[in-house]
Amino acid sequence: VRRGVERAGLAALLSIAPGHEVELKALVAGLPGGEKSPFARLECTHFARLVVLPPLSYPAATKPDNLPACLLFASEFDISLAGYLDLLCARMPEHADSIFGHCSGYPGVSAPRDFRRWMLEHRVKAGFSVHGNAHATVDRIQRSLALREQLIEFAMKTRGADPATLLQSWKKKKSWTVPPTRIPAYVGRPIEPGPAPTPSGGATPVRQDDLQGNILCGYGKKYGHGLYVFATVVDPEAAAAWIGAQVASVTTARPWAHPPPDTLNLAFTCEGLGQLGVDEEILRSFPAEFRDGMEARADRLGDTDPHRWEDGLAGAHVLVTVMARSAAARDRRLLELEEALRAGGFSVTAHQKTAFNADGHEPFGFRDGISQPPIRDPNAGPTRRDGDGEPIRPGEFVLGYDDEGGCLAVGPGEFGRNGSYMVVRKLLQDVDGFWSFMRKQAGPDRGRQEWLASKIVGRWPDGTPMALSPDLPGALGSDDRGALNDFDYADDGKGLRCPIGAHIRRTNPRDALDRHGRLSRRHRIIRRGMPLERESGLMFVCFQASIERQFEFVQALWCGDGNAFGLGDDPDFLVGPARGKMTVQGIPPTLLPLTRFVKMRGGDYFFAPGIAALRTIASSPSPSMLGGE
Amino acid sequence: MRTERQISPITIFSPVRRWWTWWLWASWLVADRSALVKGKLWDLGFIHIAHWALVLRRPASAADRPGKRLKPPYVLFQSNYDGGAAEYAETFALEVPGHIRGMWGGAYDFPGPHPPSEFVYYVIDQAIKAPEHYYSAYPRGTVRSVRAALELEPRFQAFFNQTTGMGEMEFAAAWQRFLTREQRNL
Repeated sequence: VRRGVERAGLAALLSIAPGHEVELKALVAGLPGGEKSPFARLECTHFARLVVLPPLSYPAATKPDNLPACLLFASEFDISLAGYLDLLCARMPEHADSIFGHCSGYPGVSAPRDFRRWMLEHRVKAGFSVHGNAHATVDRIQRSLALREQLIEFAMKTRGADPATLLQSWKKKKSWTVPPTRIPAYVGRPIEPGPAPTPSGGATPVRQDDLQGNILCGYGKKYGHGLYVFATVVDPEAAAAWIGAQVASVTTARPWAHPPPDTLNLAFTCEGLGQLGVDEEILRSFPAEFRDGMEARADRLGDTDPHRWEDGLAGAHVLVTVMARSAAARDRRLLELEEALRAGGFSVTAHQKTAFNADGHEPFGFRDGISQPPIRDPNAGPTRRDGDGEPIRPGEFVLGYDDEGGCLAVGPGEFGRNGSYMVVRKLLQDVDGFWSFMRKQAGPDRGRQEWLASKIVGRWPDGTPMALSPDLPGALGSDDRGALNDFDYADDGKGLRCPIGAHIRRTNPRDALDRHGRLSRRHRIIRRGMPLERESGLMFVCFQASIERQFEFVQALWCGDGNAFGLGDDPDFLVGPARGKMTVQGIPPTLLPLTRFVKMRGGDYFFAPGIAALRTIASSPSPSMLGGE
Repeated sequence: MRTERQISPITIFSPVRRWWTWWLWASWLVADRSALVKGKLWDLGFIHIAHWALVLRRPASAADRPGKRLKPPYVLFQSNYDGGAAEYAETFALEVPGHIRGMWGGAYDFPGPHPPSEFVYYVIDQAIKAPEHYYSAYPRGTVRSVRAALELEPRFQAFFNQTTGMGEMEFAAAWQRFLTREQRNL
């Protein structure tokens, strides 16, 4: 970046006149945002903020004294401070008077010199500052951003064009100048306080007999026919009794002496736990995202049309999961379960059958479920350790144990112990559309189409990682999961092997974000999804100790946006929103328009409690017994 | 249709021990001029601005001029960044723990950067949750996309000037070279 204008800034702490706090709060909150903000009239302003600070005090300090209610005014701009304050008086006088008029000693903008002096008297000088882009003016940044967008648009429009058409399009483009910037309204994220984390008392092995199965250790491909039954509680007492009767049949994480014919697991939404009479205090101690449920978090997740979700998948109270060895056994269990649930005080709202494909591939044709986090616990399960990277502490996935930060995940204390949060999403995949897109972009050669699709995924259909073999599938000569996971991105910083925005690189960046992969390790999930039966799609299921820090983070920030990877706002091709583009780095690069081939059809956030907590649920006094409804 | 970027502002007032203000004055004198210290924060690539300041006195008012000395003093931290507060704080804790200690080491209740979840909680707990107005002149520009755009602009101008009078084949080859060279900025 060329050095140019040195940016100036101002932060001023202004005393609010007695009795004016309420009125000022309303005024500041009601100021129009975006291009209608009064600060938009000062074209040299990068950022500006007004914050009505409540009175602050810190009682534990010696001789505590209050910092009274104040207005914090802070701004960053391209001209001198004196010049900026004069401009403020000239361009937004009525706003300045109405806002700062609530502060003690405000002289008014009609006396610019006094206004300047008053503001400088209240200035809080920064001792240490960092600027992301310090040497560029607002105008230059806006023009450069617009130019970049125009170039991306041109590159995508002319992709694959013959030289004559390309030059013609170039000449047709009359100018590369910048349209006036439209500044949309500010949609900053609210900061929500949550419960405090608890330092753990040290590492303890996972209690397999209290942990439900299929969380740390999967049931494996032998149990290849799945069933998800969503139900709501109709009769809380009968429902609690039914759960109590099932506790002994629930499959735990304890190693099997004899593999069962099928498995049974139970999970609950927060509303479901409430319906079953779980103590209000326990419910309140669950993190906000679980209490809210998936539908309420649709905006954050990029799920644009929750009103079109299939009935019964969101808003259920309980999820009963069965994994069977055959379709017939699974279907028998469905009939039994539907009847038992009805008799047990539930109403079945939906059910979904799933089945592994014979080749273990998902509907687009790619081998799935290769990379799972290895768990640092001898009791994690009997399967071989074939995950990628260094083993991760079990507290990242199960409540009541150390997480990677040495803390216990936020949750309902003893009730949460050996429980795990379960995210369930039914995703439909437009397989024909996906491959027709590949045909359109890569031409008629099937190999070239597969190459492009593999670049999008980050692995070849057989699971070979692009990072290890960018040109040929099967080059490792092994389909061992350990070999297929033994890679990182340290020597592929430019994404020439595995594109920076490839699906597997976004969802598990390994060492792409930091040398040791520490950031990635805080956002891992255990995936237990399975392809849908008789539909093209996937029942996406994952387990974690914090839905917000793990699933939501990966979905919203790594898949829904590209900034963490230096890709602007380019989302993930497969599960991100359909906007922007994907760059397949190469010589030359390929810029792909994004279309949505994976559609979310419904789902929810569940809690898979430990066995002891299941017993507590079964013995909870139901709301009706407590005199509730 | 592109959705609008979500730049987030954060404001934190942290009460600190009096002796800590002396450390901050001294260390900021050096650190604010040190490319080494600032470079690590710049490299994180999601901070639009971050300012740390000491608030030693109550703001002057008509009844209280000049403002009384605050007991305790406060560190005012204000920043605009890409993403959410929890991710911001967690990345700070994992990537620049030394900076975090240097800024908040003498603050009351400061848990230290490790474990990260405790630091994240501290930041979110201390963040001012109050009515505010926030304005950004380029709300869709993340730190990284702004950097990419600024790097791209002069290179594009040079490319544009070179292409004058080029024939079809020559232009097509030049365009491919330009795309290849600039792919990380697109």
